[in-house]
Amino acid sequence: MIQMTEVVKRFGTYTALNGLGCEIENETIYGLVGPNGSGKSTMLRLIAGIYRADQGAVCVDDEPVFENTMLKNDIFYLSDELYFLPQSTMDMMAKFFSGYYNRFSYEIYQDLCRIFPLDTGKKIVTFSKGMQRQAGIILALSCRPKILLLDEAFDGLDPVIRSAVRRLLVNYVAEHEATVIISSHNLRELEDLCDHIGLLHKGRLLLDRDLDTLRLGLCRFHCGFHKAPARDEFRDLQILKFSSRGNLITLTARGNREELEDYLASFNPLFLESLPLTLEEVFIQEMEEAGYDFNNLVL
Amino acid sequence: MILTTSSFKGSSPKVTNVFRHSFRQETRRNVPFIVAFCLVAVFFLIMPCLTNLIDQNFSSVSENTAVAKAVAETYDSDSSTAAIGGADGPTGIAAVQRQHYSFGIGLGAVTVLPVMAFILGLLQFAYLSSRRAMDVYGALPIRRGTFLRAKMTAGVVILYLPLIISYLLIFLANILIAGYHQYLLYELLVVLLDSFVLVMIPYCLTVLVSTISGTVLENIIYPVTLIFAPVIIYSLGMQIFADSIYGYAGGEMQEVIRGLLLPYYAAYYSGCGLVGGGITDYLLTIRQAEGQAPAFWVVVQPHLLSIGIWLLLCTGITLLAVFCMRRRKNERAGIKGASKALNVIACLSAILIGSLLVMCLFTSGWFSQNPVFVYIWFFASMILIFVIYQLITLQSARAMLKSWPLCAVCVALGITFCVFLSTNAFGWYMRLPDRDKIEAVSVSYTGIIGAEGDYILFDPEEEEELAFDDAQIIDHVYAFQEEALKRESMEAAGEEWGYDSVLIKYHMKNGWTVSRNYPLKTQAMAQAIALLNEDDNFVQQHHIIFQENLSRYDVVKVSDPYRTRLTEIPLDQIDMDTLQQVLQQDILEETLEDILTPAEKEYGWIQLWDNDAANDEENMVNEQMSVLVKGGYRNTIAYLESVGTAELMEPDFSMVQEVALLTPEADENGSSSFLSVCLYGNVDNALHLFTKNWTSGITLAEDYDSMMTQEYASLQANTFTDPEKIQSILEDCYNQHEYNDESCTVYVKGQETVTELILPNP
Repeated sequence: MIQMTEVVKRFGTYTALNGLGCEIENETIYGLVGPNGSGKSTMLRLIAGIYRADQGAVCVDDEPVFENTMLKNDIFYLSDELYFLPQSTMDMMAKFFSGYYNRFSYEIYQDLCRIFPLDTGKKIVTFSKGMQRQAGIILALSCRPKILLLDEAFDGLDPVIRSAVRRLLVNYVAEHEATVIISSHNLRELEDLCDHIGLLHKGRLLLDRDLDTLRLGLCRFHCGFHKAPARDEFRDLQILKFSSRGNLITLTARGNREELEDYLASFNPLFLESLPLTLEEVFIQEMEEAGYDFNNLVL
Repeated sequence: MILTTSSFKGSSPKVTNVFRHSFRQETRRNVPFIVAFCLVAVFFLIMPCLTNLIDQNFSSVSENTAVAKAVAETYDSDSSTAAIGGADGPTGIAAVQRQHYSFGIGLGAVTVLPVMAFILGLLQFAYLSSRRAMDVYGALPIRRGTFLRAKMTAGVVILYLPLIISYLLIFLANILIAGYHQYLLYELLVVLLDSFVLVMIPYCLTVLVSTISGTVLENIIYPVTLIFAPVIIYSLGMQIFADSIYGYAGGEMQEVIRGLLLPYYAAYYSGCGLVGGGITDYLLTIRQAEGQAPAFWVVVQPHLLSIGIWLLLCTGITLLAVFCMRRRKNERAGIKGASKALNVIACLSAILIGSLLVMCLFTSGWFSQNPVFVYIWFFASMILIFVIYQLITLQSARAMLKSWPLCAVCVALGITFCVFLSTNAFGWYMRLPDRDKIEAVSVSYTGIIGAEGDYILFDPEEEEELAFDDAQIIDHVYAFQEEALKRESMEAAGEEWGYDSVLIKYHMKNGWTVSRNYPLKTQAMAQAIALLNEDDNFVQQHHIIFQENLSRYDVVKVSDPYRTRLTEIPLDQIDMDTLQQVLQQDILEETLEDILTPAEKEYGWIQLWDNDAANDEENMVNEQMSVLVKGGYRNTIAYLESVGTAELMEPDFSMVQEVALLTPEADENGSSSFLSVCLYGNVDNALHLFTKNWTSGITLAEDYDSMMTQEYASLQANTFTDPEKIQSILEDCYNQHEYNDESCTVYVKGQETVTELILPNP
């Protein structure tokens, strides 16, 4: 388990993380979202042991990460701005990492190199941005870390590769009982992959929820009536959003879907339709309820 | 694409040695640098040594100097041609057998090696300035201190291994070409230690700065400042102070440039205490000596202390770098302004060097020597360099405005510096003490003529340096200082008077002691101090004839000036007290002009032995002394003639077997290979190196001095056996005379002794 307790991280006068606290369970794919400058990369670097927290603690299984070589051997951080040794090829980078990560597997490396169409003998500097990202992911997975930290992992990848990477990550987590933390500012990207979501804003976690729980707790219904009831008539519902256009009502409420359907059916609507909420819509609802204008938080 | 969960079934974890892996990675990654460094070693170490070796050992002997030619023409040398450079000379005189060795670190290497070390440090630790790189390196499962040590270990190997190999190759080449000599082993040890310091200091400083700074620009500026600035400032400063602003000669710009280019040249050249000799450009020539080898400690000892200090410094810097690395925040990467202290040091150094250089250029006459313009440009250059530096490092005009206090500090320092110069160190250097307040004076000056043999300059009873309260002596010393302070005297350096200097100590009436040290740069200065010889009190306290009691000597021998024969005089034939009296009388009557330009030839030698002193191991007294009876010593000559020694002091040229003239040969720098004897000290000081082992040639004395050996690297001998020629040469010789670059050394081999004389410009 990754534990962050009241973590504060400053860069000069700027506070990137301000009392951040969270716990990330093992064997999860954790999506870290937030606007630019919210502290996502800083948080990942703290977990990776690159930075040391100014206050608070960053631990994995109750052990601090910073300068802990045993722990760091099981953690791999893939930055959003990739770096490779100058004039190196993928094979050279593989050799580089294999000397540090004792779980590095050349079998996996070779398998992945077959999957992804990359020339391992060519200098990485000649690769395109997307190809470099692929190379980074290959090397990361080849190290077989128990905690994989991916900062903007899908940036630059084409849809096909993106899909492949998603499936790889899922398989990886299943096979190695690993934890993957993916940061992104794009909720749609993480929707189909993550099972946990954390929203960072101004150095704090505004939201840290299991995705299914998040989705299950919110429902949107589209109803049509002869005469639309007023909002007050739905007093038994915990309504988050209510809009009516003529005799059509669209409402978002918190609660169990079947129970909500039954409740609305009691009003004898002409039609009752349950609409799926996207992750983004869920977030918007949650944030607005928390008093934030979500449009200013997430793209 | 087929993806299965079994794709991730990999091998079990293996044991990794991250230190070794880091070390290997570092050496592999720096292969281009290793290749470049090896080329540097070849071009700057191996090739120069090999070239010198081959040139000196296989090339034909160079032509005679003009002096040698003049000697040959004047005296029609019997064997001048055959003797020069030959393996065996005629008539039993072995010509100088030369075995030239070449070792050491040349000036080019002293320049390039530290630069390469700096570059390697920069390359290795550039990742600390890159955020992207830190995302990779910072996440690796290796402690930062361990990583640093692995990299530095690799750096040391990369820098030092090629040097070791190079010197071993040079060592082997020396043996193959010139033959084995024990001295080579000592030189190998010294040069390995010296070169280690030469590369390690800049490397360690660069690493240290890298662990502190955040940007590549800082990684370049700060180490360059720490490595090169001190010696450059020192070199420039010494140039300015030594010659004063107004006496700066354009020809000496070369020294400034060398000081700028060579990071440690100034320190080495000036004999800085921390970095002793060793890394200098020299051509080592060892003459074949029978059973004589320089002692280990003579060669190596001078280096051990300085090298030990530098090695300690290296260790300290490395430990500090590890400490800084552990405390470093990885987010420092890419962020400038890591160390305000280093920034201030770098800024001040840049300003000081730039403005001093401008000052040197101006005072060399390239633009103007008007002091007003010098100072104006000095301050202008300070401001200009400050602005340029701030713009480069801060890259923001607004940020530069905030650093104006630093500029004010620089200007204040500049003003202080200019006042210091213009007032000659606030009057200290130019200041003459108030004559009326001087109680006594001590002076480190043994007079023009010191007698042969050891004698003590201290008051034997009090064991303190002699202080003269005689008004005339004080006036003489005062006059010397006035002469020394004349700017014209300093500028007109003219003939080099060697390395002598005079330390004056004024003992003031208020109990203070004011010291001044002046190099003897001009003839005027030399003659000013020589006025002391006019003072009877001074002569009486310095000349051995007044310090000694001749009656304690129990063996007296007389000889002609050329020592062709030596005859013992029975003690009952000569009264030692009377002899001492007449000698003292003659010495007191001798004028400075008599000493410098004798009108008459020397009369002969009196040699005295004290057999009791030879057996007295407790008391340090002279066992032997020699007194030169000059042509002007009328009283002494009259007395000697009265006791019947006149004929014994006539030269018998038939007793001379051989005469050899050794002519000086200018070295590559144009200076004479003989030390200038000047007018001070023992004439034989310049020649004591040689023992009187005639049959095997010129050999080394036990107190071998490599620097002295260099001075005598290129001696050429002409030999004479014809009696008429011998006589004509000897009659032109002196035992003590003003010595200059065109004089020759004459060795006279008699039946028992070999005498060394001076043949003035033939």
